[in-house]
Amino acid sequence: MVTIVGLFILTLLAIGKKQGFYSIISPFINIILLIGALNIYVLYNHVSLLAISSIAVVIFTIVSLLLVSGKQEKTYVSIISTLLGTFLSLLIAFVVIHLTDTNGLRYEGMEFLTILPQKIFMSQILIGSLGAVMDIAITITSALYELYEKNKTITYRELIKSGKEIGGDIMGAMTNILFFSYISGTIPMILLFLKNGSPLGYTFSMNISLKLIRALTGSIGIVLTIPITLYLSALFIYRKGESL
Amino acid sequence: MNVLLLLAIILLILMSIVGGKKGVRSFIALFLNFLVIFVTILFMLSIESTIIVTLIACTVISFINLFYINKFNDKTKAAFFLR
Repeated sequence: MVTIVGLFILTLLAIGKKQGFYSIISPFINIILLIGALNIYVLYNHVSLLAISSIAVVIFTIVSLLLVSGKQEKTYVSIISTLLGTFLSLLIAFVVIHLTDTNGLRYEGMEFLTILPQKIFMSQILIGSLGAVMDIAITITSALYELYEKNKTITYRELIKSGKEIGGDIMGAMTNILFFSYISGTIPMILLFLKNGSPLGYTFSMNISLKLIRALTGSIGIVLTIPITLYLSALFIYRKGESL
Repeated sequence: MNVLLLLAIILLILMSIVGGKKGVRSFIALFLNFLVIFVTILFMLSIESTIIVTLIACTVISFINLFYINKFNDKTKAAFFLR
């Protein structure tokens, strides 16, 4: 564990230099924040977990993006689009789960019973999609700003077109990342179930349904964030251009 | 209706709006990947050396993704060998 953390820090420092140093700090701050948020929830039981995690998500986004890319206009653009994308995907998940009456969800997969699993699940969706959405937002804003910096005569339409091209390229990869990281965590449980002679359908619906929903909502967040970030950065870039 | 199905349909619609044809291809690739993982898990049950099974699965998955979504060009070739 310590070795892996050490290697991670070394590679970050070697590749990122000063930026790498800030990137080391931000996950630590995030972990402390997360522990703090959970402590608040345990201490004050009547406060809703979703509200706490929403506030935590806002702080996570602002802290990590500011630390990683500094006080620049593109940082603000990516903060706004990350928050929009994350909460929109949460809203979609919420509506869908209510519309379908939680049909096909297996909350039994969550081992704790004292708190309503639905509420915890919503917070999980929120925090889970945050990371991927943040990644998309920062990738697209930085690419668009770079394109504009390199060629200031680029038209609005061309910029949007390149942005769409980039978005299409990273969309597939990012959704795959989500699916793999969620599903890889369930492989031991699935093997355990199957080795004990549980039927295939039961094993999969029991172990994978929650993860798959998290992956799907995360992917919806990713796909939504691409156009949001695209148009928002283009808006900011050209507003600035006009005022100069 | 099932939550998973509805979410998957929403995702497909969004991907086709945002990414056009490439979006639809990405969605299909996602589905194919899922199938590969399914088969891999089944193989893991009976074969002792899970690492080799996983390695093969990884190669198949990256092949599907990179070449199916982005067609065959220098960008994808570089990505495939670097992965």
